Amino acid sequence: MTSNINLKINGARYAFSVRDDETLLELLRTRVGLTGVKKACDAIGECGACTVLVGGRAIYSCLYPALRADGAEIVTIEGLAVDGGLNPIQESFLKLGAIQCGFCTPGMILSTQALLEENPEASVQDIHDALSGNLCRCTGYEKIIEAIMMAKQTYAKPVSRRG
Amino acid sequence: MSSDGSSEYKVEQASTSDSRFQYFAPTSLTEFTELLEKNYDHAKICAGGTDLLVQITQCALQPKYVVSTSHLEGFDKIELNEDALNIGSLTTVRAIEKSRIINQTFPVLSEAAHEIGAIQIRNVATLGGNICQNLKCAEYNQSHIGQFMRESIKPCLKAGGTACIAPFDSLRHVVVEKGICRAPFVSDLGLALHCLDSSLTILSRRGERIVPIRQFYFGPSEFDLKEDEFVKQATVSINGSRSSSGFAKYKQTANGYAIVAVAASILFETDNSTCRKASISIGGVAPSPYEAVEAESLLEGKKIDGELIAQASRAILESVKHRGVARSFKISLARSLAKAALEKAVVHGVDVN
Ligand SMILES: Cc1cc2nc3c(=O)[nH]c(=O)nc-3n(C[C@H](O)[C@H](O)[C@H](O)COP(=O)(O)OP(=O)(O)OC[C@H]3O[C@@H](n4cnc5c(N)ncnc54)[C@H](O)[C@@H]3O)c2cc1C
Ligand code: FES
Ligand code: FES
Repeated sequence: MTSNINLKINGARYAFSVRDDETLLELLRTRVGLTGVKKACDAIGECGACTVLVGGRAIYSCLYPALRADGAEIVTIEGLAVDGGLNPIQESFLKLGAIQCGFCTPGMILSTQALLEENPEASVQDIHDALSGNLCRCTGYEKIIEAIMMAKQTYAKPVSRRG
Repeated sequence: MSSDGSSEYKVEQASTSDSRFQYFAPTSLTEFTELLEKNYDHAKICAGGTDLLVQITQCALQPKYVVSTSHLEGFDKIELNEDALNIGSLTTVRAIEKSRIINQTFPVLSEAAHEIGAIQIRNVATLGGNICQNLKCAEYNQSHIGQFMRESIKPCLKAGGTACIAPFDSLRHVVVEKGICRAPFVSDLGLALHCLDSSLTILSRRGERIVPIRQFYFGPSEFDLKEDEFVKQATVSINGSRSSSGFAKYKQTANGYAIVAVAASILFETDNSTCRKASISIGGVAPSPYEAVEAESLLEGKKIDGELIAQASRAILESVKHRGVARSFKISLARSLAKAALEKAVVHGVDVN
């Protein structure tokens, strides 16, 4: 069985015919080619590498039926750039070396984006809370927290122009 | 280009492999309940899907039909009236965590919600899905082995085997044996609702019925819920006198299930210090919420203070005879978490009332 859905992904409109059990993760990676959405634990919901924003809220795309997303606005790491440049969170991750292998990074940055949109004054505790669903096997998290604290300062106004 | 200037794409190719299930998103309650009735035993409700999809990946559930609640309206309300707090079953865990109304009346609920999974889970997970989630056990639906590997080992009792293959002494299994499966009860909101003595409104094509939550979780790993029934809302009644509640949980990973969790609530006499009724519900130690009557009875009728709380907590699970290292550890966890939850309850009591 397949059904048709419409999505807005990183500002562009798409129409898909979707298999009933297709996840949003599968759709974004294999059909749109947005490989910044990572697949690691794959539908167990434990790693956060597949995090995307649906209507501005961070969700696990591996546990989200694509059909359920019909009509939704989705932002992936590919959609965060501002006028072709990096967004402040991406910039501070780079600057502070909060990236090693990089596999967790898109998810980390999107979780941060959702956090700072909701609460630009986020404390370290809020950051821990917001990132508890994103595993990193390389950095030990310290640099990531530092990068977010730094991004917070430059985060003057919401940057997800495509929201 | 479309009218708002964004580009438009049409990606036609549908994936070729067969779908594991058929997905329905009915737009009316009648259609929804009809689908469930017609496909009894083959259909599963998908609310947030954060548990259901994991169960399907782990081959613990293999529904032919998945019936989504995403187009049902009006079941996500949090309402407080004079005698009760009503929470619609499709309210997200995140909304319960953030709700000022809930935080100010029954903080045990918002604290329990805060402890669930990660934000990505809480943003989509619902109250109904949380209390109806499948039980969790590494031998059944919680391991990281693929289906291929799972097929090479003996199936557990729940997966159609002849016996429970879970270890006797383990952090992730029960301490109190009831029945023959050792998977523990892990629903954090179920636990909070249990200690608050709430009730559930359940509906189906046959009509509505109201079930006290203690009856809902009637047996080891079993719920009073038919395959075609939908939990519509949870109701916590307000007793008029001063009540206070709190939640404490121990988990091994930031977004993990409870090894042990405790929900506690205390109802005070009009003097605001004597305990009329205490309720301590413990998760992770038994196949259903474990009610620590041994501690509750020590609190009831007495003036609550730190010493009494400590004394009551020490009595918890005293009667458990067979203990290994892990079970002993879980019992001491249950005691210190109960103490923490009761202390929180007393502190919140001051704020709430
Ligand atoms: C990484 C991870 C961590 C988690 N951590 C925790 C945790 O710490 N504590 C905890 O309690 N849970 C945890 N969970 C379990 C679960 O995801 C949540 O409990 C969540 O609240 C389930 O809600 P849902 O709406 O997504 O449920 P769904 O997946 O939609 O449904 C779960 C089950 O309930 C049934 N169902 C759903 N809604 C209803 C209804 N209204 N009436 C009748 N039946 C219904 C479904 O058919 C399904 O069988 C975790 C899950 C993951 C993946
Ligand atoms: S791939 Fe989705 S949480 Fe791991
Ligand atoms: S940088 Fe390697 S997993 Fe985080």
